Amino acid sequence: MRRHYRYLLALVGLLCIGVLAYGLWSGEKEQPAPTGPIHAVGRAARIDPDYSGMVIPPNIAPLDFSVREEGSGYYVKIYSKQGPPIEVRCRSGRIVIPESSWGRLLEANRGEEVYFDIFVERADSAPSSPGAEKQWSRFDSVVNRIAREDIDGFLVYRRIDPAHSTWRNMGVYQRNLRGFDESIVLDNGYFGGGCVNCHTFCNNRTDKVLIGIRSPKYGNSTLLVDGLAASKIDAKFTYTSWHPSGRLAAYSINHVSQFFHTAQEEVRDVVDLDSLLAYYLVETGEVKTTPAIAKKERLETYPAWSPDGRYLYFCSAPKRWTDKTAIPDSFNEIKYDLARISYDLESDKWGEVETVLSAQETGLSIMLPRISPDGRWLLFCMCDYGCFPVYRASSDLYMIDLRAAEQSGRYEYRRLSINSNQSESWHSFSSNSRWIAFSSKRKSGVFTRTYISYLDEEGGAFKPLLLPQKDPSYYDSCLWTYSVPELVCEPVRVVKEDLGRIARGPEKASVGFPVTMATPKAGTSSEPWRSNLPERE
Amino acid sequence: MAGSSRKVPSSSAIMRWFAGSDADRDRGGVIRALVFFVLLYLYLWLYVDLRLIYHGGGVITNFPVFFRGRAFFEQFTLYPGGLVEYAGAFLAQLFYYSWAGALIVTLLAWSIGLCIDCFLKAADAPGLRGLRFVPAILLLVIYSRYTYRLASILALLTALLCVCLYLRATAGRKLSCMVVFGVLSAALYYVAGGGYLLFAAVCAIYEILLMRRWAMGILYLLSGAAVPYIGGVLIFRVSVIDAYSELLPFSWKIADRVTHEKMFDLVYAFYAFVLLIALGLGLRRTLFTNGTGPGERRGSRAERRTKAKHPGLIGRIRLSCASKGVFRGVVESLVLFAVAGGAVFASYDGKQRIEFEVSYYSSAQMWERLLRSARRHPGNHRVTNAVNRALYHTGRFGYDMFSYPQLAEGFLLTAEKFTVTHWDRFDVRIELGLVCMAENDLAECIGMFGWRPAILKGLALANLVKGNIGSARIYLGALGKTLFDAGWANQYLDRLESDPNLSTDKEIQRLRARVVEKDHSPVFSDNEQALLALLEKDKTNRMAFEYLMSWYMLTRQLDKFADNIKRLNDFGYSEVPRLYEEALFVYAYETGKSVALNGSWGRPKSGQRIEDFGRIFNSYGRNKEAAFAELAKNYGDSYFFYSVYGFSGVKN
Repeated sequence: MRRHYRYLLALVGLLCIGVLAYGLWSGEKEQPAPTGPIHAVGRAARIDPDYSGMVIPPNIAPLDFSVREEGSGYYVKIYSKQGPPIEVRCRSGRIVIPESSWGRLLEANRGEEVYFDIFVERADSAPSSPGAEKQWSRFDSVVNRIAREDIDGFLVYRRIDPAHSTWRNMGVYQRNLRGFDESIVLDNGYFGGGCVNCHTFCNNRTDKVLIGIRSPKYGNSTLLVDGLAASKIDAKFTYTSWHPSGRLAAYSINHVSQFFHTAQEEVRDVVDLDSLLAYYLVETGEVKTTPAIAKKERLETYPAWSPDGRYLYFCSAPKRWTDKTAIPDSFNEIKYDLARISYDLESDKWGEVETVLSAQETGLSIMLPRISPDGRWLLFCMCDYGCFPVYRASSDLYMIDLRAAEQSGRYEYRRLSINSNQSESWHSFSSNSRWIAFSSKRKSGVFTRTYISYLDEEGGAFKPLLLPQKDPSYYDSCLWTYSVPELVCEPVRVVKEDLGRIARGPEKASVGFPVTMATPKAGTSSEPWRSNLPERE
Repeated sequence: MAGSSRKVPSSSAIMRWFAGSDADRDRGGVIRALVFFVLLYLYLWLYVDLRLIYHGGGVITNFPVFFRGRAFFEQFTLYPGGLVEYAGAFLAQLFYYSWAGALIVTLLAWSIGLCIDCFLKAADAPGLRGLRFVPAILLLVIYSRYTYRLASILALLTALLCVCLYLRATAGRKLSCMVVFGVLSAALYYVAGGGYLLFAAVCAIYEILLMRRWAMGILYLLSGAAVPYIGGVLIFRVSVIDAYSELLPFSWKIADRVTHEKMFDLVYAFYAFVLLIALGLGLRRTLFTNGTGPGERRGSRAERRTKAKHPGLIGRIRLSCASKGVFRGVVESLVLFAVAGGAVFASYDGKQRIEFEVSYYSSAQMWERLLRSARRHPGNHRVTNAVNRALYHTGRFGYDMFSYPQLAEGFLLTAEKFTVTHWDRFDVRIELGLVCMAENDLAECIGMFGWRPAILKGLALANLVKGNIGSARIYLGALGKTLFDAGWANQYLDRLESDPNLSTDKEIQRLRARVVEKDHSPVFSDNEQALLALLEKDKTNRMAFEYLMSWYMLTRQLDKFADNIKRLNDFGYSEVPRLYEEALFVYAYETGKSVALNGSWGRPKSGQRIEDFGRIFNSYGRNKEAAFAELAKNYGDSYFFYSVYGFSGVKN
């Protein structure tokens, strides 16, 4: 029997040696730097993702890319004003930049340009005799500018399959933007499958977080992270916005109905058959609303607080139907206005609703208002109709200069230059108001990806940067959809296991819904339409 | 038995290897094992046909996906049990070939049997070696029921292999035992996740009940509780639930994704069986011996020799049986094959098998085989939907539709009750031109079945047809990383390089030409609206026409049928399909109106058939029940019969 063990050990040993040998053999062999005559191509190399002509954060992960030029060897020199250049050589065209050198280069050259000099060895230039030199081509430098201002260090997003109403794997993840580390904040594995979404942060920090979950096993609820403690609220908040004080959060309750198109690029569509706004007071655990934001004849949704906490911005559309079970025939005529209402935190008093921008004026449906932390810029989406811009290819990002509006009394809006012919949505600001992260389907009509764009002091948006990945060809076969990218300064500190345990646990704070509210009838549960919420991207 | 039977000559190394233990080195045992596993292999390969499980039939929701490349592998290294899951996912792909899948399952059964044999030997119970066939029989039942359980069983095998390593590598010294246990614990937990619990439990039972080393046994039990917590929760940061249940049958990842299986308990039985053996042997030793451990017993050879010379009553019976080794071998073999046969018989579900076959043949476009299989099925909406598609593709929809059971409510599976039949709908919808609807089905399939190659292929095709090339490229990119569909994907990716809009691809152009342009949600649930919308877009869409006419016949809307019969001229039929003629005769009979077909009025043969049908019906005094047998025999496949009885598929 001992002999058998020797055989077994020998086999295991051989296997290990085999794996090691394969690893060494299949690894990239170092490519020498180009020498000899170099042919200047006179144009920039085709690279994917297209990382050129952008303003990039000084604390962003390496912009790994693939060179889409025919060749048998590749050499890329990355340099800026200060510090040693980074040289990357390979045979495959996959340019993987060392993280530490990249970080040092960016840090040392804030406000400067960074150059990628790309050299490609011609595929047909194998030396005919020993000692003969290979033919290299040099492409025009790819130039990007390094911003002076950091982007918030972390990005929290939802990663899901592009499914329509049933999801297998989904979760809220956080990514350290300096590198490629991604970790789970909470995924549906922690509560036996289901849905996790609507993660909302207060002031770009993670000490106050709300995360919505829907679970066939454990019910629908909202997880509240307050400091390092977490608890469960017995109500599902849909679109939520923290008051900057952190003392309350406004949220929408939506009676969503999903339907499908038979002849459109995006098959899915949704309509809110009814909706209203409410707010949750953290200290008392109460839920309240006020008639002005819960009108029977209107659909209110997408709340967003101004950074001073004096105004709640939201979207509102007239409700022209009474049947809350059928998709209205006029679904493609529903257009939302942008409105705001004043609020006094100390007295808990609401003012009057005022229209900021009407759909009648724009001809489009206005969605997802977000205000920059410095209070100057109001960023929102507009699309042809409806309440869910990520499903509308026509959805684009628009901006209003609130400071200018205050002075002129007019809300002038403009379309940002960073839009594409596909849907742009789910935008968020960094805490210094210089960066926005948003979702876009520009590379395909189905898969939502995260882009980052620099905003200068005058609100000019620069060519967006596709969230870099370690594998340059990652997005070529990536079947995930990334939505609701939220920039935060720090990672979520409550561990996923704790959040999962709370999500599974029986303890939850029940919230009574005020019977004075306009839309739901008295006596209904704390969450009207609880059972009728299809999942959305 | 081991000592008494004839030894296999040393030249029969292969046979010894196959039999796997000293206990089976008798020729009879070797032959029995060989025959058993060969039969198991052949049964799985040829009868169960494991490629049906690979295909999944729109039923198996937990079949794993597998993509080539480091990125896919790396995600399995991030949690305990990932490596076994990865190995299981890879091996599962080989089910693509029935012979390869059968080989894997057979080897699995054989390996588990060997491990059990090893434990039996360590516990000094070679007489119970027949138990090693039990896992093979359980596997037989699991796969006969078309369920997928590879990862859990692979975790069990890994745990058993570690048990064997532990038993063989420990020479009896406590310290070395604990060192080996510790090393194996760490490695096994990382590799097999929750499977480690089985290892810890069996080792603990072995130490407590067989070796009487209580302290070690308790230590092992404690480590069974501690290792998953330390390794899973503290190091890998997985949830407590996952830390203890990853890869075990009751893991939510497994339990929640199993929707159809009636034999769920069987996988529990697998684990319970191993524990019961360990416990049973331990208790046997505790209750029926003087408390000597197997190690101690092994050391007293002289004593055993004395016992052999002067056997007691049980010993004498054993010797008596042993002297009749051939007879005993035959009886044991008969029992084994009877049990295996009984298990197969009890687990056999012919109807389910046909449904898997039909789904597979439909996906592979093996129309004739599909129709042959469907003949043996009493009919349900899924089978009927596949049959209709096959009939269309073989040009027999207008002739043989009523040779099979037809259900109007299941036609095209659009009724609301068929909300989970997305898998069965997307192919036919793409072919018809209802591409958005197919895309919706495919997207729902992602949630139900994961990124199976068939789904990726369908989504790639749907997006290519819609001209959404960016998304199609992503689906093709992912499909290019699968094992068996990469060729199809890479072909399209290459084609897209030279022809970005596939304007020269005839199949894509043909499908694009028929894609419905009417954006109207009710089309999703209304067959007539959908088919008319298709014909409105492309009046040469023969598939839409035949489905529309079938729909009118099924729902007896013969006025609309008659209105649309003129469309026949758009398709160049060489003759009017028989069922269409019959429907027109019924229409003429009911309404007194006649419909001319290209200036003529059907073939005389159809006229004769309706006259005969009427004559037989009248001869029974127009009593439907009384006339049924004769009409079913001669006209069970006709529209006349369907129009009278409201069902079909009764003519054999």
